[in-house]
Amino acid sequence: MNDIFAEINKIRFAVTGTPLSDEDINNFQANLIENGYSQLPDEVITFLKKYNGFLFENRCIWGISPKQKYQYDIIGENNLAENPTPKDLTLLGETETTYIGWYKSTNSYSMIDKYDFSVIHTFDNFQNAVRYLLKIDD
Amino acid sequence: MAKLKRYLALAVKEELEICEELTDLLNLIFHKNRRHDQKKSCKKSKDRGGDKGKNTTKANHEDLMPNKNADKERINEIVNEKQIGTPHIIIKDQPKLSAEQKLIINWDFEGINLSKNEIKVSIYFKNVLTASEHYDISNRHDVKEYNLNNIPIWSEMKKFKNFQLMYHPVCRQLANIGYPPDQLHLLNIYDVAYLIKKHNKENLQNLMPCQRSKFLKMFATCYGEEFLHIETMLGREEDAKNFLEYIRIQYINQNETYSDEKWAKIQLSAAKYNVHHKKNRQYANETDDYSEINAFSNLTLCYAHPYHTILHHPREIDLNTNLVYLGGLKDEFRIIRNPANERMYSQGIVKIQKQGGRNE
Repeated sequence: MNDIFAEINKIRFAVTGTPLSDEDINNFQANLIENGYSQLPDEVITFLKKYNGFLFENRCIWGISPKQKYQYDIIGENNLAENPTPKDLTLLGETETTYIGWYKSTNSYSMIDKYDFSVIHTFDNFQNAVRYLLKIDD
Repeated sequence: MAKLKRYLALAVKEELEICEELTDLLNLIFHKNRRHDQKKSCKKSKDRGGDKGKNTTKANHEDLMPNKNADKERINEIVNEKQIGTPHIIIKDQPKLSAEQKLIINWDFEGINLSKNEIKVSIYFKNVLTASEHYDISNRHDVKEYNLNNIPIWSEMKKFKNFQLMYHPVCRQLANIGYPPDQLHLLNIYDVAYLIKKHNKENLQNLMPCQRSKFLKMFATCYGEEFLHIETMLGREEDAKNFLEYIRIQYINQNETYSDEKWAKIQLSAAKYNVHHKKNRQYANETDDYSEINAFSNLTLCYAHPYHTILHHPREIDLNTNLVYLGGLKDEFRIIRNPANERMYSQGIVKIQKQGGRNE
């Protein structure tokens, strides 16, 4: 994860949320279960702990109980999207036309069509999904 | 003039009330647990009994239970009332878009922004790439030997003008890496994407354009003043100015630099405006030519929340085709397309709009 943090720090980063405490994280994971979703993997939690959501142009990774008006909440956004398979898929963020989501069954991150939830592309790892959202090119 | 001012002030007041109501309704959908909590407290009050035991009727109990679709119904009611569009009627038996078609639409709209190691090139192409490190470019094939129509996926890509513009650059890239002209049928969509990205990296003045940035540049030029006027009425002047500045920096004058703090404000404002497909992309196959899905006539700018959100939730709305900006649901806060202006823009003749000239 340090690679992606270093890359993010290099770019003119837009807007991130306030860092989270361990208690915030524990409450969030419990909330996920209560809302019918699965707990998120460690790499996502590590990322959220440091950047509780971010906005870059019209692309965002959602956060946990965000305080700022502009930020979006992971659970709230999943509810709004009417996620058809909440036990397996947790949506983590979006562009104007696609979602980025994590599939528990395959432990994979995908670019998902916003309308029919079909997978358009599967990323090798979470960092690459973030790179796609942040338009970090190599 | 005073009458007009009073009229507009009333329109602004009504719009802000609509905006607040929609935001509250969407929040109800966001937080469905709240409904779950309401059910729990309803049950508890019933169990408490007392003189409620005899007098509690089934009707009273139902009164306490919220209609779980009331929020969605109310959103639908507001949308119908304001006549911004119609619910999309799905045409049955229409073939669904393939994953490749979706990728092409996506890339045409916002550019190919997968990182290099996410572009899953074919094995043959990968081998050629590896070999190209030692390839003597002076012995390369003539660019004219490459016919991209022999690449199976090119028949889909070339339906989009932005990809058509990449025909010769892709041929040049193929020649530069020494790809055999008679093996084009082995190339997949990611191979072509790789070549376009390689071209973009090497040719900063001749990048593959994308529809989103083209649309925003056109919007800022043709409708920028009217947009600013509307946003000022609605108390969003700073966001609108920042957004127009964002378009200028990102797509027109990319040498401009700002402090991080100023840039963060600009980004925040830019995030409040979305480019929306009037007929949603998933229905692209319902048109004769699915590349039209990214045409300007099918794009509109929207204020993100709650307006863009309600175009997708609780159901898909096909927006009125003549809309180019949805800043609110009332007529006063929408911008209607001006095809003549857009034509002049495309010819390089820029017409500056009068302020307050909307719908004239």
